[in-house]
Amino acid sequence: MNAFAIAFNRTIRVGWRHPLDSLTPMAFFIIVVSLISITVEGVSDSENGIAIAVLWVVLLLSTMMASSGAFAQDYEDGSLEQLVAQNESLYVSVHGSVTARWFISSVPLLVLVPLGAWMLKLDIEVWWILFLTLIPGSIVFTLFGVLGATLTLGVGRNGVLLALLVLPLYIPVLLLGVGACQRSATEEPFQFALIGIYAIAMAAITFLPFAIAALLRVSQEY
Amino acid sequence: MTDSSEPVLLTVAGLLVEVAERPLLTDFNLKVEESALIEIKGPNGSGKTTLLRYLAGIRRAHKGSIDYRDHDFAYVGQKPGLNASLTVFENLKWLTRNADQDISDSNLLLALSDLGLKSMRDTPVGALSAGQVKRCGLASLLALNAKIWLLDEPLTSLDEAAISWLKVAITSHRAARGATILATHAGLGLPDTTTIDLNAS
Amino acid sequence: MNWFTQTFHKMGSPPFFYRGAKVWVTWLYVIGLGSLLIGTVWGLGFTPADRLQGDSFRIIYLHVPAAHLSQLIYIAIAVAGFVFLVWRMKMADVFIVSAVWLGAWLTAFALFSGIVWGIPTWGTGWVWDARTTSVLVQLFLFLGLIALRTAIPNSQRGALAVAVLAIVGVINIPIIKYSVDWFTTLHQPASIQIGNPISIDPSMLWPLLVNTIGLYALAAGVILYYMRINVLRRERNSDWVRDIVNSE
Repeated sequence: MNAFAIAFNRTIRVGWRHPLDSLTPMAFFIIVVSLISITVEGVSDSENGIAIAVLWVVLLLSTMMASSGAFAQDYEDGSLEQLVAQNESLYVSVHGSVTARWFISSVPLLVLVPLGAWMLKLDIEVWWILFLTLIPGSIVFTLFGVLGATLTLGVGRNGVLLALLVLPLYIPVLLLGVGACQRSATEEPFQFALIGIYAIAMAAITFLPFAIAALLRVSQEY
Repeated sequence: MTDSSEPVLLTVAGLLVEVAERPLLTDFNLKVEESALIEIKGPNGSGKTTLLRYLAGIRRAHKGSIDYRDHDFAYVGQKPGLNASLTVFENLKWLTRNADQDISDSNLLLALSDLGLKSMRDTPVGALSAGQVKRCGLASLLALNAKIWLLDEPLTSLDEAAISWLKVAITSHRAARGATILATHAGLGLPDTTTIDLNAS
Repeated sequence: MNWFTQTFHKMGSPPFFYRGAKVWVTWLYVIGLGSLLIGTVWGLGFTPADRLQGDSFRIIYLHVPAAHLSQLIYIAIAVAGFVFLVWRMKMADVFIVSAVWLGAWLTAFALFSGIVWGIPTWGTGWVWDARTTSVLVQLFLFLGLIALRTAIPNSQRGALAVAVLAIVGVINIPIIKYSVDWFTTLHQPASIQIGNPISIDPSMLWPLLVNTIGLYALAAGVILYYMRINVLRRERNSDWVRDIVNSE
């Protein structure tokens, strides 16, 4: 088995034994969407713009929450030490681990998006573009979330710090994603944003694991 | 390629060992030959663990060199690297695969039964006692086909039976021309032991 | 190229830096404060009021240099982060630690002065356009760097983490600017052009230039000052610091 499969397999297994790590962000997603639908007048009456923005922002926050625990357990129990000591291809392992994390944390949230869209009375025509942008968007959110988690490894109560580090980095994808969906809803051209969001996702997939692997090494080195 | 009949498994030359950016050892040299048993001793904070982490490649040497003949070692740290929610068997499997070795399931089970953990194979590590966790970490030594064992305080929380098992395991590892380096403050009391006292140097 | 690498290596040596920077700090303070005084008095008292904006335009004499400088500091921090990652040069980290607070304060000041200027000029303190948004994000990035550096007590590890974050952030700033620009064209036609200095009168430009030089010099002085303190603190166990302390 190669390093990708080994890391993927392990992360999925551990995730499977901790269903709350996936379920809590899902519950958070639904609760926040409900709160907004109840309190913000006109979310569901207005054109689709506000509803799209709400879905994106809430998905962003839930993903950040879900990825905040990445590598924390490995750091505590010494697995990370083994990973760094024995593994020649840490970059590939990080890829495996992050991919698994996307399946654990983002896919359940993406499954909830139609429910959220329905709660916000989003036109069904917008759904396809929503998914076309949310999939690469959630990949970028997960990668940056894991980056933030590795930056703060070993720092107790890292939740708020993580948010401060990661949220500014989310802005481009958020704007391009929301913009593409809103323009599609008003039948304006949105190809630019679509290309942009996929380009950012490709760049993030290629380069961020380097940074994450380097930080994992550093976390063991000092 | 280096000649594998050469008896030196590991050569450390001029290594700079730092803790928190302060040099502990400025020029550390070590030659590990086949069948060697090396005990690194010294009080707390003398750099036993750190030195071992350099040898395991967890810390990178900024000065000096660490050369393995076959880059073939098994490292068991103070935290054994076992995930609490995975079972004993799954953890062992991951540890060996992570070290790039594909050990058959029957060999893994053999290692577990040697340490009296066979009945625990499907128990999550989180449900084990501290001594059992320690033994589980040591089981990976048996499972891995490594020439050099690097052990950090292996005696902590082991009972009498497990300690005597470890002595037997190290002796037979030496008989198979494998070397063992351990950081410890107690010492195993086995014959032909080389002691490195970090406090003295 | 040779002299460059030599200076580079020398700068990396803490005792050399500590001694060499001493004169610079004094001179930079003198030049910086002097130019700022001249530029500000000149700008506030002796330039004509703007035909459209009246007197409120005068805030640009501090706002524009602060905004530019804060951006420059962020880029410099990212470059230093890169140097630290590649060569593990301690002075690069000393620079980051010493510059990051100043960068945050300048960014905050740029935002604040922008709001003060915006209220009489635009009728609103804040517009979500590319420039304001990216300056705001830059403030968040600065705060993130500070928080991260404070949260990790191990200085070597904290330094590496900050270096990585700074580099990721600096790549992000132009992307943020670009995406905000693209995004906002949807909502509001660009009715307001922010501080477009194309047709600025030379008599208004000179004080701006003097102030810019002054602020840059002062900032360099402040950063060097803090770098010297941080170098001493870090090298407190080394012989050369003992020698200095004993001789003074």
